Amino acid sequence: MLQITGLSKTYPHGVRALDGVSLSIGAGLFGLLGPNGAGKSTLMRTLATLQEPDSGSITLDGMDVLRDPTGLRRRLGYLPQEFGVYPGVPAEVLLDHLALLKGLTNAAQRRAQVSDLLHRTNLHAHRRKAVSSFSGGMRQRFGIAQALLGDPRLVIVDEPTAGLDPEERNRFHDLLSEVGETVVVILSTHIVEDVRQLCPRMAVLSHGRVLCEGEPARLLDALRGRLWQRTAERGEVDSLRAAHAVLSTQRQAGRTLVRVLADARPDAGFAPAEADLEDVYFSALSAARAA
Amino acid sequence: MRARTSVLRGIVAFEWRCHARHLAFYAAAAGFVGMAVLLVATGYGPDGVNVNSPYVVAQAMGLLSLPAVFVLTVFCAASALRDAESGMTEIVYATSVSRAQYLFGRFAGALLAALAVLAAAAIALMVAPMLVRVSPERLGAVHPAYYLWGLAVVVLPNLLFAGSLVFGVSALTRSARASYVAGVFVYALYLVAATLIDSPLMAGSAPPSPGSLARAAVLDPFGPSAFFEQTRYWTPAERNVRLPSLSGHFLLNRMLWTGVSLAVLALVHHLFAFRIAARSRSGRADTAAPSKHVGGYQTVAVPFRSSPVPWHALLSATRLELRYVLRSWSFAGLMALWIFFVGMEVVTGVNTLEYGTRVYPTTGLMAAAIGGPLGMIGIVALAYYAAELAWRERAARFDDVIDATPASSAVFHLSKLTALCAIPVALALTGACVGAAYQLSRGYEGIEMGPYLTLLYVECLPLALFAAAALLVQTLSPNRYAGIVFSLAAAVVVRRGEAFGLNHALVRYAGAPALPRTDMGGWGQGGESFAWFMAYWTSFAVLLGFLTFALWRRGRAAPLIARISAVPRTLGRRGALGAAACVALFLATGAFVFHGTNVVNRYETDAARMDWKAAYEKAYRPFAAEPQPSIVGIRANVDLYPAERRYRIDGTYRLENRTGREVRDVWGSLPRDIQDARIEMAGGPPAEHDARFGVYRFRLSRPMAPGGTAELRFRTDVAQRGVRTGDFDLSVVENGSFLASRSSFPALGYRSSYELDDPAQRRKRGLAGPSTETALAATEPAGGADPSAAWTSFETTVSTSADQVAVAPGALAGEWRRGRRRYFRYVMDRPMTGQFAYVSARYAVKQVRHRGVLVQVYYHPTHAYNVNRMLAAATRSLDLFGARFGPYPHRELRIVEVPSYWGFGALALPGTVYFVEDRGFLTDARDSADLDLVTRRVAHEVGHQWWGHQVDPTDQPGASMLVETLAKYSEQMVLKETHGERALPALLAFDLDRYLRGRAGEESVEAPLYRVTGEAYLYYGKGAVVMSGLRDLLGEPALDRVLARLVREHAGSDHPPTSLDLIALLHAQAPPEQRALIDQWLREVVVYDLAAGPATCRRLPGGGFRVTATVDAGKTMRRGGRDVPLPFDEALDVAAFAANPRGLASAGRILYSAKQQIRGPRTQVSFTVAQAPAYVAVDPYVHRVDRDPSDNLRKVEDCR
Ligand SMILES: Nc1ncnc2c1ncn2[C@@H]1O[C@H](COP(=O)(O)OP(=O)(O)OP(=O)(O)O)[C@@H](O)[C@H]1O
Ligand SMILES: [Mg+2]
Repeated sequence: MLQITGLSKTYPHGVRALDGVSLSIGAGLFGLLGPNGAGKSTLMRTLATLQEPDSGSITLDGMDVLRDPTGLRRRLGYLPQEFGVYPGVPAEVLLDHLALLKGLTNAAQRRAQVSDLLHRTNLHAHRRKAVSSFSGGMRQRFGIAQALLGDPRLVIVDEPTAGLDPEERNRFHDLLSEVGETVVVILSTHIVEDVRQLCPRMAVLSHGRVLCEGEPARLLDALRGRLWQRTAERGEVDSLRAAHAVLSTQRQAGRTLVRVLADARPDAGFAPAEADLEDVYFSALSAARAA
Repeated sequence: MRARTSVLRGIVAFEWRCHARHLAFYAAAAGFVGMAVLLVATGYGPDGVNVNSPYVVAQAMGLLSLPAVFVLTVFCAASALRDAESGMTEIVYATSVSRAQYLFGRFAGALLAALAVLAAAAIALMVAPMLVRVSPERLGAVHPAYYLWGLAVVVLPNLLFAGSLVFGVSALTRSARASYVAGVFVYALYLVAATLIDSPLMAGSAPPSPGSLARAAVLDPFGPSAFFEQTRYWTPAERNVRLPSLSGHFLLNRMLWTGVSLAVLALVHHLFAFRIAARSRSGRADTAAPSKHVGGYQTVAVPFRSSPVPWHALLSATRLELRYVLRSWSFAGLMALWIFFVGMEVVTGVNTLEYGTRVYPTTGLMAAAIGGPLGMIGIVALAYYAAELAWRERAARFDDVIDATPASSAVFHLSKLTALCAIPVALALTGACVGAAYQLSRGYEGIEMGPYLTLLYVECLPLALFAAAALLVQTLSPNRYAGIVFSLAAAVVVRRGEAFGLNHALVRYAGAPALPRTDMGGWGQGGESFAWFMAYWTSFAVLLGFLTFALWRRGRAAPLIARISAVPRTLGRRGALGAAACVALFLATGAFVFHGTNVVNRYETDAARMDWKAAYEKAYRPFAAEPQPSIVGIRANVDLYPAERRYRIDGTYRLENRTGREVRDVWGSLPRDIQDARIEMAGGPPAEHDARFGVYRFRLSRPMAPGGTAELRFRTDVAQRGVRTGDFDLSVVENGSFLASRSSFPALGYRSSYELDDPAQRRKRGLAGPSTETALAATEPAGGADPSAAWTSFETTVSTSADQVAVAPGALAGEWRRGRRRYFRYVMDRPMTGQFAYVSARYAVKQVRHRGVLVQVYYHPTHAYNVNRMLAAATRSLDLFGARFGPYPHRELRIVEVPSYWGFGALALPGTVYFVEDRGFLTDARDSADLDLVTRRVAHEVGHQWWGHQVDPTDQPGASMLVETLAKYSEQMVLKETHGERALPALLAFDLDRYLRGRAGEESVEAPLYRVTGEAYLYYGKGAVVMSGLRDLLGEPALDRVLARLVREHAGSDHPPTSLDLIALLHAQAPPEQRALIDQWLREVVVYDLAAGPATCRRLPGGGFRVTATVDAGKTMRRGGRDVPLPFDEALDVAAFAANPRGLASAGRILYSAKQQIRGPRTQVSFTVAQAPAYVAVDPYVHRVDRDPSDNLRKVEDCR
């Protein structure tokens, strides 16, 4: 159980990257949605003890993370959003090294897990190659493998599927779901689709604030019956925006599909629409913008 | 065509703007202006030469063009990489700019920028003398032309050369790192060139053969050796006004290297592929067939804390860091350079000694040759790699992953530190391999491991301490570059501590005394002190290590302040305990060391010592004229305890008042460090003791009448105790003790040897300049005895440990053992001069009895190489000098080896000659083409048994002419006897070079030989050539008669001679027409300028060849500060050779050699030879002091 309370962080030049974030996250996959610059990575780095918040507290299974960072690191698997590796070091060697850094001193166990993870991330064939020469997707998979080394109780993955091809993405989703059965897994992304497929729980973060939090189904329920859509000509879009709470616009065959949030049908051109997670995301953002 | 040049101009202009916009440009300009001002402010250049003279300007510009390599590197790298870095490559390459335009435009831009920086420095050089304080006598008129000349002739070709290499690498690799490596490489190239070139230029170390100088002059890529070759004999007056001429080797050098630069550029142009570099060579094949699925994801429990030290992680991290360092290109480059550098150092540096001879490459010598540069290069390498390693994760953007692991920061810190420490170790071991390889190549069999391995301790440990500090600096610094600058700056401050007020090694990080090491003496006393300092600094370094650990960046590092305030937390309890232990150890060892250096021993800065000397002079100079008795008898029991580094002296001086006046006070002194001493006058009052100066004064109740005698008794007990910062008393060491009388026995009266020499330091302390205007007069046999001419009897008993032999002057009168000690009694059979010494070591002895004289060589058992040669030279010298000068006064002649840290080459005392290890015993005399240095030295020192120990001139100007110049003549005599007349020109060429270089560096007015005081270039260099000339002029028998008479009249007499006495004897012997020449050579400063002009040759009908040669001759005499030409009319040797005689030493059949009368500036001489001549030479035997001996040999135009 990860408990985050009142976490705030302001960067030196005044950007408030986290603004009183409170979340409580149990075992299983937790999706963190948010636009670019929302503060997702900041939150994850803070959870990974890589930077200190200005205020707030974090506990994992009752243990104060900020007081005892090493204690948390011992139970942490972390995949940063962007990372490089030591140049020229083969995947297997590097993974073994990281396992040692994580404290896996038993050689047999360590070797078994390294090999297992290389298989799972489909890198076994490339284990003798330098990670620095990997393609973006392969390197991302290496990052996943290293995050799962040891016995993590908290796995933090920051935009893990960026750059993965569909097959690898599925494979990764399987792996994450499997891990999530016993462990707290926090997954940040701005791909709504990922969250829908994987996460029993989610939150939307924007401008450092949690806009909404809960099970995706519940959040969808809240929109049920309030979502409308119509296609519009190019010239119309701006006037629709002015008149209604437009959640999203989407190009479709030269015309534009406009989705609007309203308690009643805005006008005859609109038809009721089925809410999906994307709408949850956009409605949360637009509510925040309006507030 | 027009369009092309305008495109090129456009690119250059664009480049120029890019550079000029950058901060780096202004920073560099500011830095160079600063350096230029500093050069002027510190009075760069030889004393007596104006700071704005063409000579100094050219030299300063040359000097500045070396660091300019780095500026150029930055510019070139920026230029070549600009597009690649800003992602513009595709765009630029797609335009219609041609390859050449693109490449040369960029290069020209970078070159222009660097030139602009140096132009700023040149302007600063020109203007600074008016802005900063320069002593007015070193200020000449301002000539902008000098600076322009420097820029054009010195700076521009250097920039072009360095730039072409660096730019080439940048353009071809498009890697910043490769560019910087190339920059460093070029700089190192300069260093190597400097070592190569220094050897002929450095004092005493070398063959000034015009050939090697010329080679160096042409091959030195940056030109200084060409500059020095041209100007090396210029006097200060010439240096002030003459602009070096762009001709001869200098021109050749500049042309050659400009040509090389252009060739490099052409090559780069050829290789430069005008297309986008392949992004990467590594394969990017992805996704093979998906692996089979193997069960579920298995976690592996992390043991909570398997061991207190994470050994596994540490090992793995260390392996990765090591692999990173050792496999990097930069390291390979470093190694290549290092091997090259050490190779140069061991081949040309250490074992080339005086007169171009070599010494055996002992392991100690090799280790010293490696150790010196290791310290310097190690620091630079460590500063660089500390940055590389400390920022490695961040540079690779791997830090988030690494820092989120639970591994302790100690793992990272220690693994990086270990990898850093491996660098000096690798350097040392590689250096040792190079050294050993060289030893093998020279066929030297005494290779030892010990001295090489001690490098790991003596050099690598301090470097490891530096590595620890450099890591801390990197941890604190905001980025790696600042860190490099900080750690290098700190290293400079620490190494040049004196300049920053950090004198004591206790406040200079990793400071420790320099360790003198020799084969004989091992580490002497230094080892223990060194170890204590190392313990002290190591505990401090470990403390720094704890701090580094606590401050280690983890994650997105908080600001420095926050990290510092978090130290107590990050350090943890165990860390705090460890740090506290370090502090305790640091303080404890520090206290112990301080007690040793400052309480038990005397600690004194150079300035304090000079103050002390000045105070002594002020306090006691007034008493210098007081009449003092002379020492006429010495008896002493001396006990040496080598293992304890302790000695005791119990002695008696018999004193006699040989002045014409009453002696009221007897006063004398002991070296002030001898605290445990008792001195008393038999039946006299107790001494008044001035402990500060070690002076004892006896106020006699009954004055000593003229002719009266007295006895002075003294006992001292001297032991080496405690830690020292240096200045070890190496008199009595475990093996190889050398206890000189002047540093251990009382001396009577004023010790003028304590006086400060440096006029500036004297002035600063309110002392008048040393008076040079002493009147000099020939001795008057009728006058009273000179009290300083004291001849003394000597008898002594010396004891030492049972395994050693102790030697003192005199005949061995007894030898016995008592307890575990060995006793020797030596008695001198006749009065001797008052200097003596005791030695003790585990010697091997070889001896011969030669015509009633026992000739012995005492040597370190492994140094037997030249013992036979020494014996032969010594007996031959005894024979020759005995026959020519007068009988040898003693019944024994000893040659004794002492450790090489003693600051003399060899020292002659009565009946005994002391040689330091590497100046004779280790001389490699196997190559018979080399000058026979061993024989020369032995002959010289044996010569002193006549010149110095029989003829002992008063301490007046010209004394050295009687002592050293005549010893030089003696050595010529023996060399001639041993190797023939033709061995001499090579020797004399060195001596002449010594004179010419010496006078070029003379800071005040060059004295004539008969008034020489401390100037070795005069009494050795000029003296040797003048003696050779005198021998030629008067004939050898006549000259020897003069010298024999000098000995007869003055040996052991109370009427010591002066140089005027010798001149008078020469005059008496010489026919009147030669007296003018004798006076010119000895009493004036006369310099010849001889040259062989064009020579032609004609085949004679009856066989043989008629040679017509031109001899250019002139000579000048110094008069009132000017060189006045003298008319020329002298008989000079003219010779013809069948082949290049190369110093005459070996081959080159002499076809003709005879005196020719040379009159006026240009004389034609002709003679007939049997065989076709190749060369003619004037003065081939070096009988004249010729200002440029290299033009005395001339090729004969083809014979028809
Ligand atoms: N080291 C930093 N210094 C200053 N500002 C920062 C820093 N890191 C992030 N920020 C700012 O904090 C805000 C949040 O950034 P963060 O990287 O946490 O967003 P994110 O949600 O991860 O965005 P993305 O989806 O693009 O990764 C942004 O405005 C960013 O500019
Ligand atoms: Mg992010």
